[in-house]
Formats: sequence, C-alpha cells, structure tokens
Amino acid sequence: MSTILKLFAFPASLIIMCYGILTILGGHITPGGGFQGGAIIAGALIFCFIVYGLKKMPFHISHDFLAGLESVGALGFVFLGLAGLFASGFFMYNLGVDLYHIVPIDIRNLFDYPDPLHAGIIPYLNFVVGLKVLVGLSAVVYAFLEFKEYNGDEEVEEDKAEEED
Amino acid sequence: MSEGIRNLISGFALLIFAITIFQSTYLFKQMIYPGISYLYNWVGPKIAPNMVTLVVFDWRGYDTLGEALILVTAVVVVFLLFGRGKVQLGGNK
Amino acid sequence: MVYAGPIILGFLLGFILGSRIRDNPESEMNFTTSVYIVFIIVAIVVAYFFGPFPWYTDSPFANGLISAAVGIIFGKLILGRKSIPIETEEE
Repeated sequence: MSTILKLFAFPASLIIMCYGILTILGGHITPGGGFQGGAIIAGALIFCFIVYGLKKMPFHISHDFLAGLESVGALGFVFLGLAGLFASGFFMYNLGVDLYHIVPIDIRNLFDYPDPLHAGIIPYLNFVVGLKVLVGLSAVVYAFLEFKEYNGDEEVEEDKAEEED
Repeated sequence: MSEGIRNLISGFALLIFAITIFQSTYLFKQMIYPGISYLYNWVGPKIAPNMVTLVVFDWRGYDTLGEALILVTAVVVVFLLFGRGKVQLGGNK
Repeated sequence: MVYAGPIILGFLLGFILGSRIRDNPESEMNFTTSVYIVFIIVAIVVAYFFGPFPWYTDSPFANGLISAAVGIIFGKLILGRKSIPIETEEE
C-alpha cells in the first residue's frame, strides 16, 4: 500500500466512525438505525484492516474484545425485553411510550428517551443492535486475515505430505 | 425412461403447478382484511416519525430478536471454523 | 437547553471505540497529537454543515457527531494502550 493511502486511512476512518454513530443515534427520525449504522462503523474498521495489515493496525482488536462486545449487545436486547415482561405482562413492551397505560409513572420516566419525540426504548434497542452488527461484520474479516498468516508455514505442508503417505 | 418422455412429463407437471399457483393468488388483495394494521397505522406516527424503524423494533420486535440470534450464530461458526489463532492448524508435532 | 439523549449515547459509543487506539512510536507511520487536533476541527465543521436532526430545536450543530468525536479522544486518553513489540506466536 502506498504512502498516501497510509497517511489518509486513519483520520478518514475516524470520521466515518463518527458518521456511523450519528446514523445509529437518529434511528427513529431519519432513515437509518441500528443495522445500517453498525455496518458503516464496520466498514471503517475493515478499511483500516486492509490498508495497514494486521500487525501495524492503529486499532488493537483482539478476540476477547469482539466476543465481549457482542455479548453485551445481545444480552442488552434480551434484558430490555425482559424488563418489559416484568413491569407489564408483555415481552418487549415499549415502556417509554405506554400505549395501554398499565405501567406506573416512575418506570415510564426511567425508560423514556430525553428527546422532543419521546420514542421510548427504540433508541436503546438501536444502540445494542448497532454493537452486534459491528462485531458480526468485522469478526469475519478479522478471522480471514488471521488465518492467512499460517498459510506460509513450510512445516505444516511437509507434515501434511507425510501424513498422506 | 428416455430423455424426451421425462422432459414431457416434467413440463406437464410444471404447467399444472403454475395454473394452481396463479389461480390461488389472482384477486388476492380483495380477500385480505388488514384489521390491526389500520390501528397501528393510526397510532404509529404518534410514537416516532420513522414508520420502518417502528415496525422493525416495536411492532415486530420479536423477529428482530431472531435476526440478532442469526448474527451471533454466524460469528460463533466463523470463529469455530478458523480458530482463535492459538492452535497449530494441521500437521503433527 | 440541549437534549441529553444523543450526547450521552454518542459519548458512550465513542468511548468504546476510542479505547482501542494504540500508539506505535517506532513504526514509520507515527500519528502524533496534531492529527487529533485536526480531527476535532474537521468534526466541528462537518457537524455545522450537517445541521441538527429534524424536530430538534436546541442548537445549530449535530450534537451526536461532536460528542462522538470527544468520546473517541477521551477513550484514547483514558484507556489507550502503549505499543508492544509484535511477535508471531509459534507454539
């Protein structure tokens, strides 16, 4: 990769990450939301993966980080649904916007999004789904890039040739 | 069976199948009653302006949970297949 | 009075992403502090030209973008990592 690309990729990927965060935050107003914003942030990460290679990446990504982040996303989604189940009788009931008026007003104020639109728990759901999609897309590229480093090993191919005899 | 007779029988079966499908879906729109969709189209814009995100996360939120489960399965299978970088792949030591 | 929702969520997400930035002083591509100052200025200019979300009447900037940029820089300063010599694992 040439020097101009290495000079440009890191600041550009920071700006693209910020744009992806903006897309996640405006999920209930503008076209966008969790899935789309997560894909944009994953695109910025993959850009850095390809330009710099795995050893000189400015972002230090490890397996534990990816696994932990995805677990936080999935568990957050489930716990928001379970909170709706315990407070009222329905799973994933929108606790901020109370359509049936069956939730006491303290819980409704707790889960409300401070916003002129008062959309309930939908922005929080967008946030956790964005985390999930970001990990799900960049983990595949990370696994592929890491696997390629073991292919140039001479010992592995010789041992395999001995096994086939 | 020879090639020609097999082609003829498969063409005939395809014709009967196509006639059945088209006859059952002709005038389909007049047979459906929307029902609760009228209710949600009236109450939806009061929650948030974006109807697509509302239907995905609020009316059909349970299906989005299933989609999240698919993403988790994909990451688990990729990490299972390609290893965590700590196992020597192939050969015997 | 600005709305607290986008600011808090944007800062949290930027903090998560910024905690993974790693310094690398002996590589040939060394990103010093001036890169981050230029990044903040560009983020403020882009937020001014984006404008706020519809039905938001608090400020002429896009608050989510600015709080995300601040979150990235805070994440790098607080939880940033120093460079470690990279060796391939052979075991």
